[in-house]
Formats: sequence, structure tokens, C-alpha cells
Amino acid sequence: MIHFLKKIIQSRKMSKQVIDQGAASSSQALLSRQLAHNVERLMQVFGASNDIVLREFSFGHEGKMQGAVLYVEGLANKLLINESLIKPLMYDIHIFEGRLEVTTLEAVKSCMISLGGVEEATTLESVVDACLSGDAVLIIQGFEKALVLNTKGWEDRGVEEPKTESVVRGPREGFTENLRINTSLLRRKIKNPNLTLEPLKIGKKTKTDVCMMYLKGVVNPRLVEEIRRRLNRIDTDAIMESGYIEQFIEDAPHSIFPTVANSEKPDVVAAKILEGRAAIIVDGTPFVLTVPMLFIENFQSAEDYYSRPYFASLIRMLRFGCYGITILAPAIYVALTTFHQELIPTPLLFTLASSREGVPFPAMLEALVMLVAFEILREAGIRLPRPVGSAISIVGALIIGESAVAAGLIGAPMVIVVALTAVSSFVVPAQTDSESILRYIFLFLAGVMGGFGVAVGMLGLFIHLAGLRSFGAPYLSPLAPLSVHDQKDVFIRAPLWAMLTRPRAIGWRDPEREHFRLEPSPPDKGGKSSK
Amino acid sequence: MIRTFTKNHIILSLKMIVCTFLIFNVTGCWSRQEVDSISIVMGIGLDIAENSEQVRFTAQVFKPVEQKEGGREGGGGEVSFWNVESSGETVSSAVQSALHEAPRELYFSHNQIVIFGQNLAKNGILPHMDFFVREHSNRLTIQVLVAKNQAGEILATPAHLEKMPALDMRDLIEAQTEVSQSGTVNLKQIMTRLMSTTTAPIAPLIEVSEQGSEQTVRLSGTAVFKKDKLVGELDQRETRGMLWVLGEVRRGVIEVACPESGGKVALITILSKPKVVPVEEHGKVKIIIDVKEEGILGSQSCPENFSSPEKNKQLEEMKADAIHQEIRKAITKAQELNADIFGFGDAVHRKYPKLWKQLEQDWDTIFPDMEIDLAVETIVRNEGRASEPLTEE
Repeated sequence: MIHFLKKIIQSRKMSKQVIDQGAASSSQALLSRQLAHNVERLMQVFGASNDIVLREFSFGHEGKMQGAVLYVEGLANKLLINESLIKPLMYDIHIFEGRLEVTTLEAVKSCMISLGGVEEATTLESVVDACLSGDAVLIIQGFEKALVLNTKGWEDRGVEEPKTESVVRGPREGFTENLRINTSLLRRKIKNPNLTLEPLKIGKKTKTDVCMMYLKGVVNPRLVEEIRRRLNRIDTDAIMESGYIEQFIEDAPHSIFPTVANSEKPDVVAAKILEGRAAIIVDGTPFVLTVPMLFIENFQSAEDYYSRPYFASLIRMLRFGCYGITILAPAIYVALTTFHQELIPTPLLFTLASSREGVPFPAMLEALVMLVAFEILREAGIRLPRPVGSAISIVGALIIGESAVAAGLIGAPMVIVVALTAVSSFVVPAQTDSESILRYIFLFLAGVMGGFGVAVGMLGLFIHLAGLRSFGAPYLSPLAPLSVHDQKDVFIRAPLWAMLTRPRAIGWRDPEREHFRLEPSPPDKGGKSSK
Repeated sequence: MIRTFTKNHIILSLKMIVCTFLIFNVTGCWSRQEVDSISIVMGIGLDIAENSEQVRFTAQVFKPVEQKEGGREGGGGEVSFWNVESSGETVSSAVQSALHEAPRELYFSHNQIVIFGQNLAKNGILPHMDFFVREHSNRLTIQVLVAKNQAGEILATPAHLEKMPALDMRDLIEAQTEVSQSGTVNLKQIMTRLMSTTTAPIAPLIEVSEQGSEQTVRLSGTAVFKKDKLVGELDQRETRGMLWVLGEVRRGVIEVACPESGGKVALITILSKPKVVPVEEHGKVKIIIDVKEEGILGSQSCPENFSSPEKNKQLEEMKADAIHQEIRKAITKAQELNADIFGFGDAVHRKYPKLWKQLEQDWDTIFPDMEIDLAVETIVRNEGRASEPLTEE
């Protein structure tokens, strides 16, 4: 029996090896001098796909040279290929007749092709890869090399205002699905040669372009090294979105808290790069990852820095408060009404008691029902087409807000508590996932053990958060470990001229952000000129 | 760096989870009870049952009214309380036997007042106080009252502003700071006085009074205890006399006759501060009381102008005299009852601890004949908005 199993496993291994070898032999092979042979092998690789365009043509003196252009329709810019590749070779070459001998690959490359990016390829694999990523490949009879021409040009969504992270004041542009546009958006924000891009291809089958971006001199080289190591570790078939990368490189895969941040806005990512973080941009998604991530990043919004500090600080504290409300409000309500009635002010207790009179469920079940109803409404609202979505919200509001109370199924205070919880959860959008889970945990603890349970839960939560790290940075930094310098950007947002240094946990390689004494003031009075 | 979830990790985390749950057995709030499964007690009355030695216990509980759509209508129409009555040998057994009538467990955390019936107070309140200290859900801020008659009767008198009589009475007691004519005490204060060997406990007296066809409760002076037994009462002026010495006069009106013409001047107290100093003289102690008072002119019904310094001085003297009389009355009454309601004994104890050891045993004979020196200083700060009185001219 065991022997038999072993045999099966072995045979599987062998067959896999065979396949791998076959793949290797077909794509790792070098190009040959014979155009026909190359074309034949390429067409074998691509098979029957009809979006592969192969154009064979003659050019040069008396049409002596034979060439072939290969590209994928839709990925490559057809017009560009016609205008800058085929036309010069077939027509313009005659202008130089007699004056220029275009007989070598170098001559073709340097004299005839009016395109920006031209590279040479020697293997079949690189030719195939180039084709599939939108480049055109020119193969000429008699040469072992092919020319890879950058003609990428596919249909794209333009730079639009992102759906998430809306701002009242601040840039409205958002990242797109196109990696190159995304990197250009960042380049436009940080015009600095030290802004470094490190390209990578991840995904054995999808060969997705991934790009790491950081500001040399500000970023910690060990961080870059670590990201590189983690990215290179990924050995998977497909990367569909940056979420795939996130799940392969995060520090705490079993935590409900994300340790990799993401953003759709170039100004946010640029600011994070300038603080000493690194960005990971993935082709095909507008969500750009940034690491390391700190817990307080959830509470920092781009707009905080664009509006004036007093209001920004107020809103910052409001966000912390809302985070507390959204994870604790139902739990505290349940704990108070089922365990600690003595803590409720007497008149309020009368109101609560009156509203609970006739409610058939215990408070905890009541809260659970309402929270689940809210999650259902939220999920339905996101997934449904917009015209139907509004119907859902009306039905939801009517049924839950009005009828459930009127029918005596749910107490009115519980509706208020859950509504407050639900609204608060959208104040800290980055943590909506963890909030939902924590809310249920705390509700359960409160329902079973009251305030003691909530206290135990909070303790556990803090222990967990304090134990998390993201790419070497303590997750709760700068609160724990405490960094007095960095308190300027936690509960309050200090004026920009007072934020002299980068966060200690991230950008301490080049701590100085700006010159001190930048606080604006009226000019000195005449006569008392400062010396 | 790469963490894999091995068997050891799973075992470790299981152990951690088990340990975490073990905590819950150690302590916790185990008494889970929904709001709709408790009777919220707002006031307690204790009497002696008519034909036995048992305690009759009256608890005023909140009666929740189910909220209808469109909110509560008016709120005054429906009675939102219920008085549960039961009796037992002790307060605890009476509370337990209340459950024969009340379908929900009595919940004392929000209790506002305790009223002792007069008969019960005469027999001694100490045996019944233990429940309020021992039972953990009772708060020490509960206001203590003594009924002129039966406590149950007071609790049954309908409330006029609040939803329940108990709440009405709590507010009534709070409002006394404006008048300073009843000696309000909470549970903690009365416990402190009960535990002292000499200081006599006090409590405000409450009675039912008829106002036309309506019944209402009324605070009428102060009950005075000797040890834990009710021995007498102070009327409202005597009560304020006591409060001057205790330093508990917050506000109040003192009326004096106009010096030159008929009519009265009402002087409002805004600040008072007493100083009680025991002095030893040849083995005897005497008490020196020095009361400083400040106030304003509230109103006057005579056409005299008090804005001149001389007239002002005259007013101040008259007021000092009135206060002096009040305090004297209270002292006389206390010495008659031989109840040290002012806590003079404790003052001596603090100042002369050694001497106190000799005096303590004989305090009951010392206190009634004790020499008490009294000095009152008063100030009339201003005459209000009208500097001159309204006259017919």
C-alpha cells in the first residue's frame, strides 16, 4: 500500500519535472539567425491566440532584408508601431539610400527606429514576455538578437478622484490601474533623483509588475533590504491586487490588525515616502502599499495637514473617540444594563427600563441582532448596483429604525447605540475590518462578564497591539514605546513649522525635516532690525 | 523571521486561552440581570408592625411604563411607582419576604431615601441600620428621614413634580440648602454620629400635611436622637440655631423688625462660618462659639433707608442678635434633651485627648450644665439693586 502511494507520488514528481523541463527548453532557448525558424517557434508558443499580430515585411536596399514585427493587439499602440517602426523601415529608408548602409541591427536600432525605448533581447522567453507586456518585437533575418520596442499603449482609466479617502481640501487625483501612471504621479510629487524605483515581476503565471519606491537617504536601507527579501520570497501563481502582496509580506498574518497600510492617493503615499517609508506599487490596482505601518496612521488623514492645526487636532481626537465608541459602545451599553445598573444615572435608568419593558430578548442578543442587521445592510449597500442600493438603505432604515422599535422587538436606546456605533465606524475607514470583529468580541465579553469582561478585553487588546510590529517598527509607536518628540502628530496635529523631525520609529536615518524657527511672525519694526 | 504555526504554538495558545478563561472563575460580575428583571427601589420606609414586634418594610419601586409609539403622553397621567410592603424580624428578612408580593428582585443601588417611622425611631434605629451598611448595593449617600407618624404613609403621599414621592422628597431635601431649616443627613453622616460615644444623631422630620384637598409632604424641623433612640425634636428656628454652629447654613432668611417704623427687614445669608473652641478652666471645659456671617438685604417693608453706614451697622447688630437668639434656643433645647447634637464632645476629644478620658464617662452630666460662650459677628454687604426703599412720594 505504502509502496503504491510512494510510486504515485514519485510518478507525479517525475511528470512535473518533465513538464518543467519542456517549458524551460521552449522558452529559455536562444533566438536563431533564421527568421523563419524564430517565427515558427514563437507561433508555437502563442498557439492559436488571435490577438497576436505578426507582420512580416521586407525592407532596406532593394528589399533585401527580411523582418517581422510581433505584438499583442490591444496592448501595444498600433499607430505608434505603424508610424515609428514599420513606416521608417519600409519608406523612409529609401531617403537615406546610398548615404547610409542599413544592414546591421545596430544601424536599424540607432538610425531607423524613432521610438524612445529600444532594448535587445536574445532569448525566446524575453521576447514572449515583452510581447505580453505590450512591447513590439522586431526580428530581422540573419541576427540572433531581437529588438524590443516600447510601444505599450492600452486602454486605461484616466486619473480620477478616488472613491475612498475623499477630501474637502487637497489634491483630487488618485492612482489608477496603470503602474507607470502611478509612478509618474509620485515622481511629480517628489522631484528628487533620490526617489528610487525598484522593479520586480511577481507571479509565476501572471508576471505582475511590482515596483518598490523609496527616497534614498531618508529610508532605512535595512527596511529596503527586508522588503526586497520578503517580496522575493513570494512564489505564487498570481498577483491580482496589492492585497495579495500584503498578505504575503505582512508581519502578523494572524492578527486582525493590518500591518501594511494602503492608500489610493499620491499625496498620501508621497508624504509617507518622505517620512521614510517605502511604497509598493502593483500593476493593475490603484491601491499602493506603504510600510512600515503604525497604528496611529489609521487616525491621520491627509486633510489634517492641509487644514489649520487647531481644527485638525480637534478632528484627530474625535477620530480616537469614535474608534473607542465604535468598538465599545454596544459592549458598554450591554454591560451597564445587565450588570451595572448602579452606574446609570437614575433618570436615565428610568428611561432605559421603560424602553426595555416588553422587549423579548436579553440586551446582548438585542445588540447582536442589531449589529448583524447593520453589517448586512452595509454589505448589501456596497455590493448592490447603486440604484438598488438606495432602496436597501430605505428599507433598512425603516425596518430597523422604526418598525422594530414600534413592534417592541428592539428597545429604542439600543437603536441609538447601534446607530452611533455604525456611524462612528466610518470615521476611521482604515480600521473598519478590525472594528467589526472587535465589536463582537467586546459584546460577547460584556454580555458574559459585564464591565470586568470589557476590561479584560481591553487589556488583551492593548497587549496584542503592543506586541505587533510592522517591518521593524513597533505598531503602537510613538505611544508605546513612548517617543515624546513624536507626540506632535498623535492626539494633536502640531503646526507644520513645529514638526521638525521625522517619526523616530521610521525616518530616524535623516531626522531633520525642516529648519527650526520657521514660525511665521510679523516683520521686525523699523529701526530694530535684527542683527 | 518567518513564523510558522507549529504544534507547539497551538498547544501554547490553547494553554493561554484556558488560563484566560480561568480568570473568569476567580472573580467577575456574576450577577447578570436585565433591567427588566429588577425592581428599582427608590425609597424605603421602616415602621414597627402594628400588632407585633416585627419590622414593617415599605419599598417604593419604579414601575416602568411601556413606551408607546410617539413617546410618553404627558407622563403625569399614569402612576409610575408601586409601594411594596412586607414585614419580618429583621430588615433582611422583610426584604426577602417582599418577594412574595413583588415579582422582581429588589434593587437598592438607586435608592434615594430611608424613612424611619416615629415608633421605630423611639425604639432605636441601630438594629436596622446594619442592613444599609452591609448590603453592598446600598449607597452611603441615601438621605435619612424620620416620619412624624408612619413611614409608609409618607411614601404613599402622591408626588407633585417628580414621578415618584421618593424622588420628590430627595429634591425637597436638596432644596433645604436654600432655607437651612432642617438638618439633612445622609447615611454616612448619621453612621458617623451613631458611632461617636457622645454626639447625638439628627435627622430631618417629615410629615404629611393637608393643603386644601391635596396631601403633600412637608419637612418640619429636626429629630434628635440620644444614642440611637429618638428623644425629641427641634423646631425650624432651633434647627437653624443648630446649623449655625455646625456650619451648615448655606442660605436663609433672617427677619428683623425695622428699628424706627413698623415693618420688617428680610436679611439673606450668603455665607456663614462657625468656630467651636473648647477651653479648659480648672478641670472644667467650656465651649466658645464664634459665628461669622455675611449676607445681603433681601427686602424690606418699611420706608427706612439702610444705605448709610450707621443704619447698616444697626442692621448688622440686629441680625447678630437674631442669630444669637436662635443659637441660644438650640443650645437650651439640646441641653434640655441632654443630646450633644453639636458634637461638642468630639471637639473636646480632639483638643484635650487626655482630659477627655476622664470626661467621657460623665459627659451626660457635664453637657446639660455646660458653660457655652457665644459671639456672633455679621456683615450686611449690600442693599441690592434698589439703594433707596420704595415710598409713596
